[in-house]
This record gives sequence, structure tokens and C-alpha cells, in this order.
Amino acid sequence: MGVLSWARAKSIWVLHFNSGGCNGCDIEAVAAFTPRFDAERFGVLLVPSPRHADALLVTGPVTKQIKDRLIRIYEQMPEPKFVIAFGTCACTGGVFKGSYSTCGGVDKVIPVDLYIPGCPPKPEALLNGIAELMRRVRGG
Amino acid sequence: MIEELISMLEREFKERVKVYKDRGRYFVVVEPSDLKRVVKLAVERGFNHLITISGVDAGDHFEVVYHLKHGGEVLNLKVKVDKGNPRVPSVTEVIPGAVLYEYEVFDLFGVVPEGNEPPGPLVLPEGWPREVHPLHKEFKEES
Amino acid sequence: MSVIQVPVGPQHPALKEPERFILHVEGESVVKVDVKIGYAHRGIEKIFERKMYIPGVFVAERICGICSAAHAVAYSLVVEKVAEVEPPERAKAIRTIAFELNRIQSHLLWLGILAHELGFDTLFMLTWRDRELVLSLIERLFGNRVTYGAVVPGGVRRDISDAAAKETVKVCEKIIERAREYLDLCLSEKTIVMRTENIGILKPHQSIALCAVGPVARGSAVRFDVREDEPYDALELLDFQMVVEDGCDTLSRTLVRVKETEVSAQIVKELAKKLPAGPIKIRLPMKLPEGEAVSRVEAPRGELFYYAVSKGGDKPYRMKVRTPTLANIPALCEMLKGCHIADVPVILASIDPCFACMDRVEVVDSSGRRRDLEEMLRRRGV
Repeated sequence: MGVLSWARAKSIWVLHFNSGGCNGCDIEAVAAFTPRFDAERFGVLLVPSPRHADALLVTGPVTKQIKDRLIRIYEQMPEPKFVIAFGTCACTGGVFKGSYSTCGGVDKVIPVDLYIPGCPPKPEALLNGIAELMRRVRGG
Repeated sequence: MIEELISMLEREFKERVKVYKDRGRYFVVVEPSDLKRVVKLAVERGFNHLITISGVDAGDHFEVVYHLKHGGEVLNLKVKVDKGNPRVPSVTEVIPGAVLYEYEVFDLFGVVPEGNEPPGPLVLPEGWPREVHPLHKEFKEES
Repeated sequence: MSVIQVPVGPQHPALKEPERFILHVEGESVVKVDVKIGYAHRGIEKIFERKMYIPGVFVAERICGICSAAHAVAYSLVVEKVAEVEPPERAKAIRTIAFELNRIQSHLLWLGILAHELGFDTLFMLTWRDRELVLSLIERLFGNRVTYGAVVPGGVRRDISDAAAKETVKVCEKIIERAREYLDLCLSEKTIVMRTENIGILKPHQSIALCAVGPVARGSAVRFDVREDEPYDALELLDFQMVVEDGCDTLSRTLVRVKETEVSAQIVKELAKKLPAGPIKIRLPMKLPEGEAVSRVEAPRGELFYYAVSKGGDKPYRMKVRTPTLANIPALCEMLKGCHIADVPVILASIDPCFACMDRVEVVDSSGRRRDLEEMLRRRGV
């Protein structure tokens, strides 16, 4: 493990992007950063710009309207970058699978590194996912 | 309250309105040409909150339903629209809040609100074909 | 001075959800707003037509994760009306508990978002800490934090034990105490008052003409609450006090929501103390008779409306949903007119927008032609 990946694993900055979800996952993702769960103690931070982000946290089934924006946001992120599909919709399309206006999952549009299923996943699941991501960044 | 309005509408429009009650709510079927006047009369009598406008694909014609409320009473005005030339008069002159609902009905059913024509092809993702409306019964989703 | 266009969204730090606003600004003030909505359109009304009545409720819950119980109740009510059945008394009480707990967490969440937009992050963290109290209680009662899966047509799926009811009363007392503190804070804290008083004005006549709903209407002195107009479920048995404020600004809307938090906690407390005995569910037939029905409930953001058409059979022929945020968008454009650009996020937050709800059937510009709602409303003399 090099110094770079050691430092990176301790400071994963996350950009949250709602790709047309129902808000359920979004409020649980935000709840993970509030006092009870406090993800920031692992060095994880929510950032407002894709240019500052290491990881993209995508919620929602990816509507056709938002697809191009999601790709653009992904392209704006610096390497190395990780994509977390948060929630069943982001993983597979969920209950909206087969609808005329959704693509059916984030991995249909951009490559995904980590899937966190659940409708919505609990904040603990996000913490678990982040721990997994840290392990991967360290090269474990 | 709603009974008074309905008997007034029956007096005024005679056989051009048809009233029926279903699950405790009144439905009034009116002619498209009378729609604006009926809405105006309803608004003047307190039914000034337009909840929404629903479209229904009823097989050989479309139905456009205007849900107006006054307190706990809901008046459902129903207009039957020909599928060949789906147009209804816009009610935005009487109820400005109807703008988005009329656009929505156009998007999903292709019923044009006359006087409040949607400025562009609307609903749905960019590049959606203009003549396809997803809530038509013949529209099938690929699975 | 020339007018400059400032695009906000779909991905923007001030927006938690993807929508696009184009602000036309002259110097520091906003002269016009274009709204582009539809980034979260998932075609739910079409999905309803291929789901059977009972599984449909789980789709309804997923229209919006924040007001999930409101959607579940409204959907169940409309299906029960089509089937012409009535759920048992105990089920009604449990539903109302779910509904009002949902409102409490939604209003606390909203207060946190408002505080965040004001740059008052301490309050944001405090309200979200208190919100966890409610979420833990919801998890205890229904087994899930966000989408409960508890309310179904015909009743509820999970009973509340006596021990759980006792705990509910305790949590409600705590919430009432906290809500009073927040009310004090909103009235006395300069950081809040200076950023919200006389900001985002919506006059009562504008509110009525633009068909605004929920706390937006009640913050503009319009007495409009479905819980009073047309009580549903266990609310029929309770003495409900509507909260109305006459300031017509963002502060009034804030006060309405904070006071409603306490009112809802009182409702839950009262119901949990005397839950009626009996079964919690009745069986619904697979195939429902023909007919049309309408149901209305007061979701946290305002009136939520379902209209169902049945042609017999086990699936709805048509299910129409009108969510409160869509109804408040014309009012939002009115509020933004003439405001200072720095106040835009606060005014936006003040309608408690829920774009996930709104977009289930909304509208997008696709030809590159600008749709100009503002212009449209002006033509109509608003």
C-alpha cells in the first residue's frame, strides 16, 4: 500500500447524485452523515462538486431524461473514481424496471464498483459500504 | 352546496349535462363547448380550487376530468373528447393554476388545451417522439 | 441593466434533487424564473395499470420516500372506495399513527433542510438527531424506517403491541417538548427571522388563484387542510386543530410546519393511548367492481389526490395521482419574482419541494424551446 492510497482511503469524498429516485434512499444517505451515524468520523465528506469527489453515490433508477447528465457528472470526476449504486433502484431498476422512462439501473449507464441493495438501505448499510470501499482503495 | 350547484347546472344546461353519483362523489358530464362556462359558474359558487385534471383513455374516446373542490366536496367535471381530434378549451382564464395540469394531459394523452397550447413537445425524456403518448392504452412498454 | 440567465441544476449544491431552474437576474434581483421539471419522471401511472390492486400499494409508497405513508394511505383509501369496503377501527387508528409519524419526521427533516439553506447547520444536525427518535419508533412499530410497507388496502399488515404503544406515547411527549423549543427558536433566533421574514411573499388571493396547497396555503392565511375538510381514517374521531398563519412569507410557512409537528405528535399520543380493539385487516376480493373513486389526504406537503377508474378485473384501468409539490410550483414562481438572488434557495426550500413526487408525470422541454411559465401566468393576469 502506497502513501497515496493510504491517504485516499482515509478521506473519501462523496458526491451524492439523485438520478430520479423516490427520495427514500437520499434521506437515508444524508441521515448517515448526521449525528446518530456520523459517517464523517471515517473521513468521508459530502461534497457539492464532481471535481472534488472520489466517489459518486447514485440513487434512483436513472431516468432517460437524467441519463446524459449522469454521464457528464461521471466524466467530470478526476481519476481514480468509484461509483456506488445505493438502493435497489440504482442496482437493478427496482419497482420501476420496465417503465418507459427509466433505464433500469446505474450499471446500464456507467460502470459501478459497489452495489448497496435495500429499499431503502439503512444508513448502517452505507457505513458498511464505505468500509468496503476503504478496503478496496487500500488495495486489500 | 354541491346539490345546489348541480341543480343549477341542470336548469341552465338542460340535457347537455349528465349527472351521476359514484362512490359518494358527483360526476357531471358536460359538452366541451360548455366547459368554460360551467367552470366559471362553479368557481363563482366556491368551487375555486382545481385539484387536478385527469385524462382517461376510455377506448373509443378520451375523457378529461376536472376535479374542483370546495371544502370537503369534490365536483368532477367530465368532458368526452374525440380521439381523431383531441382538443378541449383551456380553463386557465378562469383558474390560472391549471397551466401545468393542462400541459400534463397533453403530454400523456395528446389532448390539446385550446388557448394554452404547450409551447413545445413536453413530457418525457428528450427526443421522445411527439405523436407518442405513453398513457394511451395501445402504448406498450417493452419489458 | 441587462438581464442575465443563471441556470441552477439539475445537479447543484442547493438542490437535493435533480431539477432545473433558470433564473433571469437583473443585478441582484430575480425578474423571471423558468422551471424545467421531469428529471425524476418514472412513468408510475403506467406502472399502476399493470400491477394488481394490492401490490400496487408498494409502488405507491415508492412515489416518494419522504411522504411514503401518505401515498400508501391515499392509495388504500381509493382502492377501498372502489371495492366499497371499510377497514376495521383498529386498522384505521394504526394507519393514522403511521401517517402522522410520517408527517412529524417529514417536518423535522424539512426544518433541517431550511436551516441548512440558511447556513445554520447546527440546527440542521439538531433536528435530524430528533428525527432519528421518530425513525427508531417507526422502525419499532412497522419494521422499516422509510417505506413502512404497513398500510395496505383493507387495513394494516402489522399490529401495535401494548408495550410499543406505551413507547409511542413516550416518544411523542419528547417530540412535543422539542417542537415547542423549535417554535421558540424560530420566533426568537435572529439568524432565522432575518432570513425568512417578508421573504417569498404569497398573498392569500394569489394562493387561491394558483391553487396552492398544504403549508404554503396555510402560511398565506388560507384555511385549507384536508384533515378538517374531509377527515379520513381515525381522524374522524379526533378534535383536529388546523394551524394557520397570516404572515404570507417564509417565516409563516416555517411556523405552520413547526406547530403542525406538535399537533401531529398530540394526535399520535392520543391514538396510542386508546387503540380500539379488534382485527387489523379485512380481505379484499381479487376482482373489484366497476366504478370511479376519488380520495384525498393531507400529506406533509399538502393535499394528495388519487383518482381511480375500475372496469372490473384485478388491475386498475386508470390511476391518477396529483402530488402537492406540483400544485405549488406556480405559487413558487410567484414567490421568486422580485426576490434577492441570495434568497432563492431559502424560498425554494420554503415550499418543501419534493420533486420525486412531482415528476411521476411531469413535463420536460425537449425541443430546446423554452417553456415560459411566468409569461403564461402573466398573460392570465396573475
